[in-house]
Amino acid sequence: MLKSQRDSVVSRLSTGDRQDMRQVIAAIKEARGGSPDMAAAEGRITAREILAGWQGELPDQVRSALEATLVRDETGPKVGDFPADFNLKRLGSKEWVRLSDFRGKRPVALAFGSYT
Amino acid sequence: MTEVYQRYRDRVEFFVVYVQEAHPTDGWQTDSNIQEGVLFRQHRSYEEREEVAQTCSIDLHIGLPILIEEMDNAIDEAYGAAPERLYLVGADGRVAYHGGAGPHFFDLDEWEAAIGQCVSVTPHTEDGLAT
Repeated sequence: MLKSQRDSVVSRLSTGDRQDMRQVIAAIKEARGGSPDMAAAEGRITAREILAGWQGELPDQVRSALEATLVRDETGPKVGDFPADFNLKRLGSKEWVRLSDFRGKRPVALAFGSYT
Repeated sequence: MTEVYQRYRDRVEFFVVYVQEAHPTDGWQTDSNIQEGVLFRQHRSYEEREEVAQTCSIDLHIGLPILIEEMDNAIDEAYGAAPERLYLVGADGRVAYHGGAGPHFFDLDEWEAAIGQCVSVTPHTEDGLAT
């Protein structure tokens, strides 16, 4: 799922809806317990189980937003997969960096993000 | 993040990959960005993306090497990268840590733990890794 698709669902929520959503997210995070292994596989299943078994009332739009959040969370290569290769230019230099060039040499830690 | 980088940079490659804006002025704006004056429209060219990334790196004192995602956002799509996300790729080329999607499941401590675990089990030599 693309970020824009998730955003289109989540950005429509009212303030009250967002509070409902935050409650479920908090329960999911608590269940994950901050362990990398949990985040790898089990945590994802737990997140879906929590949503499926949620006792409180959730408006349809909140359920849709949570569903979109979980689908987005599941996007991307999983532990053990070979991730999509990339060749990107390094800011402030003429150097290009290809992810697969580090295979067999060094681990690569990646942080994706933007200013806003 | 800079602390993690400083701690492990001798054993692990680190990159920030700058992707599309999460909350551009012409998209889904947030109150916190308005309060802090972090106001940028969605990049319309690669050069604009580079410029905003440069501003970001200066303002936030990012010491890590920054790579710029192409305008097709292909990496973002493949990795589910935006708004923010952490990964660790092992020396074997496989994903060793697949961080949760930000903002809700973004967890720097998990990432650091995964990096620590990774370097403790993969001995390294001057010319590469033992297999």
